[in-house]
Amino acid sequence: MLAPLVITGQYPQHIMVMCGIWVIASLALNLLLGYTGQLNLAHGTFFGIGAYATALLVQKLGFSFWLALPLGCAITAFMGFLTGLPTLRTKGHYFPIATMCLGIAIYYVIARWDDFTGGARGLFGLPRPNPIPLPFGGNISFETTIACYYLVLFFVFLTYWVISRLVKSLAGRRLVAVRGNEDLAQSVGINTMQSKILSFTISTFFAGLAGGLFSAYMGTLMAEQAHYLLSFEMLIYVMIGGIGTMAGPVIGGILLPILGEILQPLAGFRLILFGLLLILIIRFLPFGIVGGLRMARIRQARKKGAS
Amino acid sequence: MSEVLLRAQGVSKDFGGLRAVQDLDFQIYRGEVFSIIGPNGSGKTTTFNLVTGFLPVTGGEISFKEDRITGLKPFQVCRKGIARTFQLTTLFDRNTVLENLIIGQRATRESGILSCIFGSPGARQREGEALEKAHELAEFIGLARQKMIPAGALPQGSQKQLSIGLALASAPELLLLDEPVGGVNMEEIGLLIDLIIRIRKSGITICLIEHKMSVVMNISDRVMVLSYGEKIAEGSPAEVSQNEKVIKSYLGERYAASRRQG
Repeated sequence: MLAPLVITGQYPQHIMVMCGIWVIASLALNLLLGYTGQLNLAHGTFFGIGAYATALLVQKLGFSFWLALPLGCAITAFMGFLTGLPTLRTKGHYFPIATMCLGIAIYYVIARWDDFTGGARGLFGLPRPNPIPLPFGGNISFETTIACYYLVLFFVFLTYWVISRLVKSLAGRRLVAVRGNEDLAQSVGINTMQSKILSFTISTFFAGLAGGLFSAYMGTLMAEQAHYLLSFEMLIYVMIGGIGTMAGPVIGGILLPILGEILQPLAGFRLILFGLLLILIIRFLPFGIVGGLRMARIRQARKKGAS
Repeated sequence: MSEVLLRAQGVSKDFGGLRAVQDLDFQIYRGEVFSIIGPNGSGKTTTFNLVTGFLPVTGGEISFKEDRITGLKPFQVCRKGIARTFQLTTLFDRNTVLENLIIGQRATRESGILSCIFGSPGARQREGEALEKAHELAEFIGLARQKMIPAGALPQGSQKQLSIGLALASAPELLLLDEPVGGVNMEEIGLLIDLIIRIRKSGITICLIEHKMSVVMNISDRVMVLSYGEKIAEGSPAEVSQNEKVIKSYLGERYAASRRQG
């Protein structure tokens, strides 16, 4: 948390901001995937929708960032809600397929709609968040990377808090029931469709938040930020960190982008390494790093008990 | 007799060209144990699925407390007060016994999403109540010592007990049990029958599907016999076991004939 005091380089600090943004997006993906059992392959696209919505509200309508960000999240969540209505009726593999198709379609809309989204050129010159005035004069400005780091960190904590509260509550147990067995969930009176839509809407809301922060921090947006391949990247963060755990997306969202930067010199080979890593994780640690740590702890406790 | 709890009138179900249930009429009275028996493929489980909304009826009408329930979704039927178990025992395997019994209480506990996140006093109170009820249920079904074990790790008999507990968690007035003692050993059967008797004593009406004749005959007030989707007999266990048609469908034409001569 206080890492910026130690890590002073501009570039490492930039990586830390990006990690925070990926952690938010991964936490959101994990709510739907890990706790509700639905794999949304348009998650990256919703990240892009949030980014574009926030950026366009600021640039075209002159909104303050602080108004544009929640509105951007709301727009993303509303799009999520509309998407969920038809797609969540599908079962099994059809949901990932349907969402992936949708993700690709939206990506092309963004990439080709020159007048509105800037098309392939993208949007640039987006301002950083407006400074927050302090009551006794002066203000908090977001011109430095460190300031952005703390801004993103605030939202990481907020997202983590909301989602962990949710999954531990009675409402969260309904989501877990849907993941476990939809028919059984129905038989104990759970409206499974409503639970899935709720989870999807909240998940896309936070994907939009991550996107909105991204647009203001980077200052430029390209259609690539809504590409469906982004969904797979976030999926890898969640799977390697630990699917269906709160700590998993945090660990995955921090570790893998850093690893990616370290392996930058390897260029394309880095992706092969990631692929290999993913296969190994799925084979040996189906619940990722967090699941592996838990297993190790249980084993240690058993050893102690036995001796 | 007492109040009619569930009423089925002219209920039919087609699967493509196959008629699985044919023009079925029956009533379940409050407080009784009503059993449905019949050979494999006679439409017993289909009848359960029609009552609980897992399958739409092709024709006919089902009402619960004189309130039409045909066309409702399974979760809506559950909220009306009908709970069920499944033939192949299904549980939330990765969750503990206690968690299963908390999840099962959905029907009786509203919990808004915002009050859950912000932890309103009401939400906290409901969570406390749910936990308390889950402990009580665990005691009642005889799994008090296994509360923290994941459901998937329980032996078959305990899984059956838990699946009944899960159905009870929604506080039903009518409990439908699909082969509650199927595939468990003799000792476990004793535990399950004891559980069913205690549920009945607590005032819950029970309808069960069963193959084991000894179970049906001992605990049922009335029995309905299905064959090829049609009702061929209904009455007390003693009446049904003497019925010519029932003997024929269970033991074959020849046995029935030899019985007539002998």
